[in-house]
Formats: sequence, structure tokens, C-alpha cells
Amino acid sequence: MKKLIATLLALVMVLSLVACGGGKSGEPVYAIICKDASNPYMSRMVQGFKDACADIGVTALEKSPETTSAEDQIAIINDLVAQGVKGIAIAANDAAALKATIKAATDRGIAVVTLDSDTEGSQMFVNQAGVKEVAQVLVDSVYDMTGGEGEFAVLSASSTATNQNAWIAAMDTIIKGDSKYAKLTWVETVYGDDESQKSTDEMQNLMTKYPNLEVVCCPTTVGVLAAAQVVTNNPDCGIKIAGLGLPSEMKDYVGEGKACPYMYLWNPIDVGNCSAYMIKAILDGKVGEVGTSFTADNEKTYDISAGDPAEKQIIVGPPFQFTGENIDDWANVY
Amino acid sequence: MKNTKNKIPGKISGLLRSRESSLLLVMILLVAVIQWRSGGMFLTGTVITQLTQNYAYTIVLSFGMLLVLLIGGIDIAIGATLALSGMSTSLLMASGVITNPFLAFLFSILVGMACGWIIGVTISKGKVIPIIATLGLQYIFRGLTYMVSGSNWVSSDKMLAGYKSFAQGSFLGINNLFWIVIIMFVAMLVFLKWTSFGRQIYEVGSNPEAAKISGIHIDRVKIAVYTINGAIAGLAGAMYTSMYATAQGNMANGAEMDVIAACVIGGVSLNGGQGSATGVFLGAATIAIISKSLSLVGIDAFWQQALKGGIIAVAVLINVIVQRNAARRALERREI
Repeated sequence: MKKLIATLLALVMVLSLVACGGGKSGEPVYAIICKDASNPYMSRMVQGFKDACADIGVTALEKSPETTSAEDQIAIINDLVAQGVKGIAIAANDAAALKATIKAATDRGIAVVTLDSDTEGSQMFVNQAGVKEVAQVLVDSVYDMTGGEGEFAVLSASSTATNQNAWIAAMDTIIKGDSKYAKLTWVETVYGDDESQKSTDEMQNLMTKYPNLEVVCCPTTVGVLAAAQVVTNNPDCGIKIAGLGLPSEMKDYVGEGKACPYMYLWNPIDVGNCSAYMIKAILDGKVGEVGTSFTADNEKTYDISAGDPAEKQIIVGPPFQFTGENIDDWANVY
Repeated sequence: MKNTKNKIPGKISGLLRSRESSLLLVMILLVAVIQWRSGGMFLTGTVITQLTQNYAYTIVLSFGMLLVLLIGGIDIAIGATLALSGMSTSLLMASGVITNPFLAFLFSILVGMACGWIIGVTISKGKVIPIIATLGLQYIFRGLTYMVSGSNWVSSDKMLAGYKSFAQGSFLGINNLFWIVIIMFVAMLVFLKWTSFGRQIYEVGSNPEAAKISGIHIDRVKIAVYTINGAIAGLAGAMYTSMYATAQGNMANGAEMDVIAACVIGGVSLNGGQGSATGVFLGAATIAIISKSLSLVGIDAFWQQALKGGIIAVAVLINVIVQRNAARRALERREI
């Protein structure tokens, strides 16, 4: 009798162990790792990722560090590898630090794509908009808002932010490469560290240092908000704000005659959505060499270009313009 | 017994007075260097107004931290308390529950008080050392902030117009937020010097054993101090959200570091029992001046953090040396 019970118990144990493998109801698991847990932009990305996972028929898992730290992301990736997920989409907090951890994951056959911010070791960067495309709309905003000539400054996130630095470098190349922009004077680039207090300080200091400043271009959602608020509280300064901002946060500041006549951003829901399909495409072996193209399960065709620093990259779509006319509609979306 | 009680605080405040004057000197020197390096851009009405407005909440937080440090504690959860109270107040405004700016400030203070009370009880009744208790509760408060907001921000258009305009308004040429600082400063001076509870705070911090024997309920003092500190962080949460017209889950992340630095520069001892409202005000003003001016004098962004840290380290070092010399002199006098 005792033997029978022992055998039964052992059997139950073995069975429960088997049941533990894989995700819910045995579905494969795709995980998404955000920069930090508090960013509403990231929440929309997660939403898109989860929608796509539901359509593909896999379980979506969200894991995010408390603050924008690369160390925490390394720990999360290690956990996910141990859990046996099939794919990871990550918005990297550092351009290099995650390399070894990601390699350990890809060595085990896990598809790793980066979204929002790229890092070394990633198999594919799901680019929300090409660096050049973003820089071009930012430069054109500055050109348009200054009326073709005058002083402008850039208020960025932290001085080490991968995205912002790439856009700023590309803006520089565009301005230097075309005589059309010769009369624009780029006075300074300052860093608000994506904090309200620091961004406000930097914006106010720009106004103090450059009395003839006409436009401040902010390629970061926290910065553009702080800058627009400073300008709104100093209506006589005559400075216009250009940049990338969240429609729901910028509703009060976007429109003709306001601090920010218009701004740009892409659709984070699409970025998250696309990432899940890219994981699927990599796992299915659809992704070929650089220079070729493929059609993903969402029935869209993507061109593969060389990534930097990721191995390959695809571009989700062009940035989207928010104006006084459409801001109210978009404010309800994200 | 009564006699010695009166003597010791007298000596301490005398010692602090000299330290405050040396701090004031350091501050004037700093401002002079900044004024020179920025080509005269720093000492203008506009910049000073911006500074007092932008750093009002940091200075207010420093007064709360002063009380906590005086009883020999520390609270690294103030940034999270600020975020939770500011966020919950903003959410209630967005959903139309709070329709009066004054009630918004009051509610934020109450949330902060609740957080502070929890910290106080954890430390005094739970016998958890302050740094660990507030480290843990910091994550809980911050996590709650993300939870109640669903990781979303509360944007400007959802806040009361009167709430936002309060932070931009002024009275007698001084920004409303800085009036809060002035009122807090005067209240702290009176509270610490002339109320018996204020004196008890010093006694608990400088000699807990003696305080206990003299009949002070140490736990009660501790809970009260952390609750007051929480209320102040709640007030700062309302100041922050009205000033920047936005409530973000990660707001004031790391604010505790600037605040502790302000206290230490202001001559507050981390061992408890030593420090004054004047010192802390000067210390917090020094931090504000450094933060505001670094980019104004054209220091490269990559060096700003390091330089800020360097200035703080030097200020603290000066303090430690002054303190050590004073203690040695006191000891020599006793031996004679």
C-alpha cells in the first residue's frame, strides 16, 4: 500500500513538472522588456505587442525594470532565458552593456529583437522611424518655425541616450549637407535628463543665454513637455518648440499660436505590434540577408538594412505629425 | 538636571552659528565665481525667480529631512512619498473628485502624512533600522504610484486651472511656492527653538538613553517626526505637480539624494542631535544654486554631475573638519 502511494505521488510530481514547461496552456512565450515601468509611451508599445501576440497565438509576458537601468535588464533577460521563452523584445537602456547577456539568449535559439532603443547583440532592430527620417522632420520643423533663418537650440534627454544622440548627429549632417539650412544657427545642445526640474532649468537657461533664440527642438517627450510649459508661462519670449511629444501630454501646448505649433511621434502601438511579428519571422526563418526583403505574418513587407549596432534592422513607418487639428483625437489614443 | 539641559543646547547652537556663517561665506564665494564665469548672467531678477520657483520643493523637503536626521534617522523614501501623494492628488483632480486647489494641496499632505506614519511605525514599533525600512517602503510607495496611475501620466489639461496658476503666481513680487519655503523656514525656526517638542527632538537624537530616562516617549517622538516629514513630502508633491503641470510615475526619483546632501552641507549630523533650520536652508540654497548654474556657466553636460558631486564633497569635508576641531576644543576644555 505504502509503495503504491509513493509511486502515485512520484507520478503526480513528474506530471506536474512536465506541465510546468512552456507558457499558459503550453503556448510559446514572447516577452517584452521596457526601459522602465512608468513610461506611458512604453505601456502603449506593450499593448501593441500583446495584441500581436494574441493574433499570432502566443503568450505575451511583460517585464520592466523600476528605473532605466541596464543592470536590471540583464537580470530580467537571464530570468526569461531560464524560463524558456521563445522570443524577447527589448527597449535597451544601454547601447553596449547588454551584449553578452543577449548573446547567451540567442545562443539558446531565442529570438531577440530591440525596439525603441537599440543595443549590440540584437538580431534585429525594429526601428520606429529611420534615424534620417526623424532628423529630417526635426530639421524641417526648425526651418519652418524660424522662417528659414535664426538661432535654435536642442534640449535632449540624457547625454548618453542612444536615440537622441543618433538623431542629433543626423540633424547635424543634414544641416551641414544642404545650403538651404545655411542661415540656421545651432547655438547649443543641452540635456534635461528626462526630469522635469532639470529640463525646466535647461530651458530657462537657454532663454537667458540666447536672447535671440527662436526655436528649441526637443527630441524627447519629457523635455518637450517641460520646454512647452516654460514657453507657455513666458508668453512674451516668442520662442517656438519643435520636437517629439506624446499627444495626450501635449494637448494643452500644441496648435497654431501655442508654444508648439506642431510636433511629431510615431505610433508606439505599431512599434510593439511589429516587434512581435519580427520575433515570429526570425523564429520561422523568414529573415534573410541585408538588402533583401520579406513579408511578415501581418502581411506587410519589410526591407532589411544593416543595423547599427544590431545585426539587421527594419523600419516600422514614417513619423506622424500632430497639429492643432488632430491633437484632440490622438490625445485619447496615447 | 534642569541646569545641564539648558546648557547643552546653548553650546550646540553657538557652535552651529559659527558653522552657518562659514557656510554663508562659501555660498557667497560660489555665487561670485558663478557670476563671473557666466558673464553676469546669474544674478538677475529672472534667474533668481526661476531658481526660487524651480527649487522650492527641494528646499521644503530638506526641512522635513532635517527633523528626521535630528532624531538620528534617515528617510530615503521622500521621493517616492512625493510621487505617490502628487500622483494620487492629480488623479483625483483628473477624475473630477477634487475641484478646489486648496483641497488638492490638503489631500496631498494627508497622503504624505499617511506614508510618513507608516514609516514611523515600521521604524519605532517594528524596530527596523531607518535606512532599511525606508529603502523597502520607497519601493512600495513608488510601486503604488505606478499602480494607481496605471503607468500613465496625468497631463496639464486634466489639472485644475487654479492649481497650476498657483505655482506660477506671486505675492509681493515673490513666487507663491517660495512663500511656502519662507513660511516653512520660520515655522521650523520657532518649532525647533521654542517648543518643548522641538527640544525633545534634539534630545532624542543626541542622547536617546538620557531622553528615555528623562521621561520622553522616544517611539512617540519618532512616529511624530516621520509623520511630519511625510506631510512635508506630501506638500512637496503638490508643489511639484502644480509647478510642472504634470504628474509622472518616476517624478522626483532620486530627490532624496539632493535633499540629504543639502542637509549635510547645512551642517546636520547624520548621527543625530545636530543641525538647524538656518543651516539646512543655506545648504539647500547651495544645492539649488549649483544645480541651476552648472549649465549657465557653460560646463559640458558630461562634467556637470561630477562637478556637482565634487562641490558637495568639498562642502561636506569642510564641515567635518570644522566639526572635528570644535569637538576637540570642547574636549580640551573639559579636561582642564
